[in-house]
Order: sequence, then C-alpha cells, then structure tokens
Amino acid sequence: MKLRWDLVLLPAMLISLALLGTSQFIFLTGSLHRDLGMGRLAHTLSLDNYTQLASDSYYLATLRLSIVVSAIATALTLLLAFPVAYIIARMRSRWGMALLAAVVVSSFVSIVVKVLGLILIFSANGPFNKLLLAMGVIDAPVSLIGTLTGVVLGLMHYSLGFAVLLFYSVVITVPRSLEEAAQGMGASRAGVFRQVILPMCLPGLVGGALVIFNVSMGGFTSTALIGAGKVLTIPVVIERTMLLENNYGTAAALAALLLITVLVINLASVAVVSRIRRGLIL
Amino acid sequence: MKPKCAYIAGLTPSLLLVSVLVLGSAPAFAGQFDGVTVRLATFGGNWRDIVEAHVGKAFAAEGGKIEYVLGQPAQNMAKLIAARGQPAPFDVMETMDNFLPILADGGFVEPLNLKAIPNINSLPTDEYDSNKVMIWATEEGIVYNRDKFKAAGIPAPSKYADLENPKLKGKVSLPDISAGGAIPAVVGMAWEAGGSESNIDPALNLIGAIAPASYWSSSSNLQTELTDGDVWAAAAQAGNIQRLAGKVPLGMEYMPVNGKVGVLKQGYLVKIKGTKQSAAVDWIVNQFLSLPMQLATSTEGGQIPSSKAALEQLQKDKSLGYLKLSPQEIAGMYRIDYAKVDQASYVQKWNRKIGAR
Amino acid sequence: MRPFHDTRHRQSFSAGDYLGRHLSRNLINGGILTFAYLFLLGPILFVALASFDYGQRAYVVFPPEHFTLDAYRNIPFKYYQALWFSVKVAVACTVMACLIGIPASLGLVRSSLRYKSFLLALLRVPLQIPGVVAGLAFLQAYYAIGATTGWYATGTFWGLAIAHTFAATPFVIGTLVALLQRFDDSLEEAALVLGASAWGTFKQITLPVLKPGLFTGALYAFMISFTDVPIGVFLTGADHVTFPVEIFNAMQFDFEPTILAVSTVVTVLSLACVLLVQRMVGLDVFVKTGGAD
Repeated sequence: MKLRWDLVLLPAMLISLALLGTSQFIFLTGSLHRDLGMGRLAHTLSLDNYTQLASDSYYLATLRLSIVVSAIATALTLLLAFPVAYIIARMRSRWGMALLAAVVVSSFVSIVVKVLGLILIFSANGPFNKLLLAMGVIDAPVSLIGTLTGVVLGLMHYSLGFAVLLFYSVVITVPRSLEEAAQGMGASRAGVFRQVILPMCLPGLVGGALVIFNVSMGGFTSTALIGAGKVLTIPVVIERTMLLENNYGTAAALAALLLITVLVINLASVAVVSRIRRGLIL
Repeated sequence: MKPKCAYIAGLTPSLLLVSVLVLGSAPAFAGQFDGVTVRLATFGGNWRDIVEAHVGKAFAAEGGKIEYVLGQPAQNMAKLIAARGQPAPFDVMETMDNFLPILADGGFVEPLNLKAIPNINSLPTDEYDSNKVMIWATEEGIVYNRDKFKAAGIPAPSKYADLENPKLKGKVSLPDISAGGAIPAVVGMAWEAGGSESNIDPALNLIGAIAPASYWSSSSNLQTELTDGDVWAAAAQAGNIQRLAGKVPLGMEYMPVNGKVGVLKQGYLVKIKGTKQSAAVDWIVNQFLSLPMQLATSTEGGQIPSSKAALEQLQKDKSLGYLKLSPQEIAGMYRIDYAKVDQASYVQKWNRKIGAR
Repeated sequence: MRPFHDTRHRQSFSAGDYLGRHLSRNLINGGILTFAYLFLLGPILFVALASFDYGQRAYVVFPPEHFTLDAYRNIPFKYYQALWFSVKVAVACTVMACLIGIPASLGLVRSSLRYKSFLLALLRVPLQIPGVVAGLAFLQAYYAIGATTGWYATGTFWGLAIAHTFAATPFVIGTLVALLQRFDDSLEEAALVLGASAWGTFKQITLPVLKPGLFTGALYAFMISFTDVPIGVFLTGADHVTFPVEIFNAMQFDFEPTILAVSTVVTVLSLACVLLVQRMVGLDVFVKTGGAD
C-alpha cells in the first residue's frame, strides 16, 4: 500500500503558502497606497511611496549605510568564523564537539541578553574601558553606543554562532586525508590551505558569506539597541517609520525594498556559487 | 481507615483557620469598583511608581486594579493608532500637549464626566475641558552635573549653545525625537538659533554643532546616563533632579526662549473612546487631581502640579528651589504654539539631519 | 615525488620535536579559539556575573563588588508574566510548525513530483524574510483581515503564534528534509514486503530515524519563537508581551538591574534545555544542518 506522498504534502504546502502569500501580499499592496498620516492610507493605488524612496537622498543613504555596515560585519565574521570552524573540524580530541555545543548553546540565548551584555561591557564604567584606561591606551572612556563600530560588533555577534556551524559543515566535507596527502607530497601548511582547502570550500564560503550578509541586512534588535537612535539602518528605519511616524505605506515600501535587496542577493549567490562550481569542475 | 480519618480530623482545624484568615483579610465592605480593571497608559520608570503609590493604591482600596501600559506618549499613541477600528488597548491615557490635536482629529477620545471630578475646581479653567484634564506640567531647560562642571571649570549653562563647549564634548545628551522631552528642546533651541515652531532647521543645525554623545529615549534612560557619569549635561526637564536627588548633584538652568524663561510642557489625562470603564476612569482622573498626588508630582516627580492649592503649598518647600512655583514665574515660561507644530515634518527632518551619515 | 610512507616516518620523532613543531600552531589555534569564544560567550557570562551585584547605582559594576541575590528577589512580576507568555507562544508555534513541517518534508522528499527543489525553495522563503518585514507584514495583514472579517489578531496570542510559525516552519522542514534525503527507504520497503502495516512501519522504522531531526527541528522552532524580538515588537499587544520584547523595551526606555537577573535565569533554562536534547538525541543534527540553511 503505497502512500500518495504528494497528497500528504498538499495541505501542509497550502498552509505554508497561504501564510506566506497573505502576509506578503497585503503588506506589499499596502505599500502602494500613499500615507495620509496617523496610519491612514489613501484609497487609490499609486507608486508614490516608491518614487519617494528612489528620489529621497535620506532613504538612499540609509540603504547605503545598511549595505556598508552589513558588508563589514560579514567580512569580519567570515575572517573569524572560518578559521575557528577549520580548527574545530580538524581537532582530533573530544573538545571539538564541546566547542560546537557551546556555539549551539549560545545561539539559544536571546539576542537581547547578548546585546545587554555587550552594551554593559563597553559602557563607560564597564570592564573594557576600565582595562584600556588602566593600560593607559586611552585617557577618557570610549563609548560604543551610537557608533558604527558598535553596530558592526553587534551584527558580528548575531551571526558568529551560526557562521561557525555553517563553515564547520563545509570544512568537514573536505577529507582530512586529502590534506595529509598534499602534505605528504611536499606542500607546506600554507600551501595546503591555499590550494586544497580554500578552493574546495569556496562555494560553501561564498554561499555562507551571502547568508551572513542577508541576516545582517535584516538585523534589527542589536542595531536598534546599540545604534541608540544614531545609527539608522533599514530595519530600524522601518520600525521607526511604522511605529513612530505612523506612516504605514512608507514603512511597507521600505520593507519591500529590503526584501528585494535580500532576494536579489540570494539569486546572485546562487548564480555565483554555481559558476564557481562549474569553474572548479572544468 | 482509622489513620485516614485521623488525618482528615487533623486537617479540618487548619483549614478552618486558613479560611478565617483569608476571609478576615478581605475588606470589610465592598468598594465601588470591585473587580474593575482599568488600563492606564503612562510613562515607565519611577513615574509609574509615583502613580501606583498615590493613585493605584487608592483605586485598589475601592476594590479596583490599575493595569499599566507603559511607554513614551509617542509609543502609546502608536498603539492607539494601530488599534483603530478595534477595541483600544487602554481606557485612559496620560499624554502631552503636542498630541491633543491628533487625538481630537482622529476621534480617539470621548468626554469626561466633569461632575464626577470634583477636584477639577482646584484647576485654573483654561487647563481643562470636557475632553482633557491637565494634571502636571514639566519645566524644561538644561539639567547638568554641578560637580563635574565645577571640576572642569565650566560655568552654569545660560543658553543651549553653551552645550557646544569643547570641554563638554561627548558628555552631552539631547532627547531623541521619540522622547517626551523632544519637542520642548527642539522648539527652545529653534527660537534661540533664530527659528521658531514653524522653522526648526536652526535647531537641527545647533544640534549638529553640539554633536551629543547620545540621544536619550526616556527619563529612565537619561537618569542612567547621568548616574553613570557618561553624561554631564542634558536638555531635559527639572524632574530629573528630584528623581536623582541624593545620587547625582544636578543643577537646573532655564534658557531664554522668545522673551520668556524656560519651556513649559503640559501633561493631560484623556478618556479613550469606547472604554467600558467610564466611571472608573472619571474616578481615577479625580484621584490624579487629589492633593496628595498633586503634591507628590513635585516632591517625588520634580514636576509642577496643576492644582492651585498644591502649588501654594509647594512654594513653601525650600528643597524645590530649582522649580518655578510662583504664578508669576510659571506665567513667565514659554508655552509652545502647537498650531504651528507639524510633528510629522519634525520627525522627517530629524531623521535626515541626525540619522544620515 | 616522495613515496607515501614518508608521512608515517615524519610522525615518528622525539617529544621535543613534536612540541616545537606544533607549539606555534597550537598557540595560534588556541589564541583564535580563545578570542572567538570570549567574544561569543563573554556578554552572556558578563550578564550572569553582573547580576549578583545589585547596588543602588544605575550602572552595572563588574567585577561584582559584593555578592547578593537581591536582583533575583526583586524581579518584577511582569517579567514572569512575559516569560510564561513567551513559553506558551513558543509551544504553540512548535506544535504548529511540526504539524506543518512533518507532512511537508515527508511529502516533498518522497513524492514523485517534478520541480521538487523549486517547492522546497518556496517553503524555505520565510528564512530570507527579515523579522522586521515579517512582523510588519503580519501586522498589516491582520489589520486588513480584521477590517473585513471583524477578527483582529493584532496583539493576540494566536496572532503572534501564527506569525512565529511562519518564521519557524522552514527550520523544521530544513532539518527533516536533510535527514530524509539521507534516509535509506529500502528498510521501509523491506518491512512492508515482510508484512508490516504502513503505520507500523512508520512507527518502528521511520520514526526512530527521524527522531533526532524532529527534536532538533522542534527545538529550533521553539527557540525561534522564544527569542524573537522584531515580530514581537509589532504584534504584541498591551496585555500580552513576550519576554524578549519586554527586555528590549526595558533596555531602550526603562533600564533596571533586575533584567540582568531574569536574563540569567533564562540563559540557565536554555542551557538546561540544550543539555536535555544532548542527552536524548545528541547535538549532531544541529551541527550537520549548520543552521538549517
């Protein structure tokens, strides 16, 4: 008695699509109505919100800021997460699993708690400043609140955990014996890294980097708290437009902009990764 | 069976005792608001504690309960707007002068029963009508840490531009546009820099020149910064002095604004349309106007009450020297002309000037 | 080109040689790991340690000057209320995500439909939608639905649970699909051929294999809901606030040292949760699915 698996799939698929469709459709159509202030929307459809976004230098600057901040955070996360993942993947002792478990545990603690810790560590009376003052590196406390550096640190924190897990699963696909063989043939460690590990991990690296970038672009909580009203990336502006200005149409248009940017980057990532794969095979 | 009976026999006296204690602790008479819950939208932090102590407790004595919906007036306003068309998220809201036009326009409020609010007689007639009742005012200027200023050799501030002092670099906090104290600060700075309610660009330029270390989002937020030592001076209301009394040596200076001294910001209570606890709301408004609560507004909150009787009494209190309590001084403060304030455009301009990089 | 066996020769040397060769590498490795883990876990530990010094100050002192549990004793009731609400929403979300995710992944992997990868990508689209966008979208959707049907889901328990389910289901599907793709269904076929019923086969062969994935997926769904902030910011009402949103508001507007204490409590609970899963099914599936991306 063989089950018609497609029938099993059907209701679940429909529900998922219904959730996706309803929410996104209504909000996107909301963006096609001009704001009348105080949460009211005009009855006629128009592209006013979008033309406003495209022409207002403020929103364009916000987009640019978001991209810059996310790009820096992604690069730094990559630089930290990949070596860590590699080290753990090549560990022979049981420590490897423990370290990964630590990452999993940390990702289950809410981001607000982590940002709370970050803010307190970097506050004027916090250990970071106390240490630097004691060492004489600075002569006045340095605050990270409301600075780009602080926001980048917050975003790094947000993505570091799953970046390590992601890259671990990438590195683990490269058999250790391959590295040993290369070494056996006379390659130095650096050479092994450059000519064996890197090329084989490249698709995963690129794919992972793009995922991290996407997540950073959408990162709201840490930016809202650390940015403290001074660093306004798109997610923060969306929330403020929605809840402070009560301009639901503009907020929806901004959200659509963010969504489009993220989806475009996703498509680009798929294209780039498949091109790299083809390049490698050829 | 025997042990079981013995067990039950032993339990009964204890049960009786417990029920007596429980019933005995219930109020001897049923209050007029037994079982009634009123949702009050108000500020968080120590203001909420002040309200609970002088209004919440009294309401509880009548059998009722106040549920607090905490947030800055802008946030609570947003909750109200978001709920348009469905039951409102609260019954009575503490709001400010700048939101009154929006509340009226949007049809969010319904009239109070002034006959049920006898304490209204202690207010000047221009401070209330059937739709709103003024319960306090805050006096806005610059709050600064006297000790830090003295140690750094900085004189007390006499105008907003004094905050540009290089010695204060990184030590100044101004209100974020979402904070309650934003509009008084922005309008005050606008007038000083050659603008007004209809033209706040000079204020935004001044803010840019001051380059504050942070923008405070609420009194609690500001109080944390002042106590931390992160902030030495802030454009804020005098109430912060009272709330940090004994913890931080704060001083208050009022800036000249359009021929007057200092800016006055008024706080109101409004009844939200569609509330099911109309009578309870009237009672609570009356309680806010009671002498103990009005006095506490100053002695604990550092604001000024609207009740004339309370004001008279407070003028004798020497510890409130930083507040302007005499009718002449209060009349000498600047009141913002909200007819000329376009809040939506303020927020837009703010975002562009302050946020963009 | 040296013969292969030379690598084994290379490994037979004195201890001193071994240390010398590996020391610098181990130092670098150790340094990188220490830095990374300090960065990752530091803030969480800091919050825990700082929660033990509950002074009258508005700022937090580290290292704690005196040890006191006052912060834990003084946690306002609203945080417990918010925690309980968060748990309820998370449980509802997990159940719904599994109810949708399990048939979806089973159906997807085992059916003979064409364009399977397209369907899978479609089911995983919510992963790409930032929380702010999802929150805003659902708020507006609920508002529009309310205007037409009269049922307003904004600020309600189910409204929030449904939006969380939307965000969490892709994780369940991702984990299960990854597992199912590696599953050898010849075992199932063998059982069926040997006379077992379809349900019996499912219970005794399929389910045990799926269990780790199920647990992982369910735990992911729970945590997505429990730790969510952006969706909650838009969809929580005056009466129903989730724990992370409560803390978020406190940090922005109303900081009090008790949030350190309640955050630590939640951290410890999360740790216990993960340890429980480790005991029951191990954490391998988490690692292998690398974040279910």
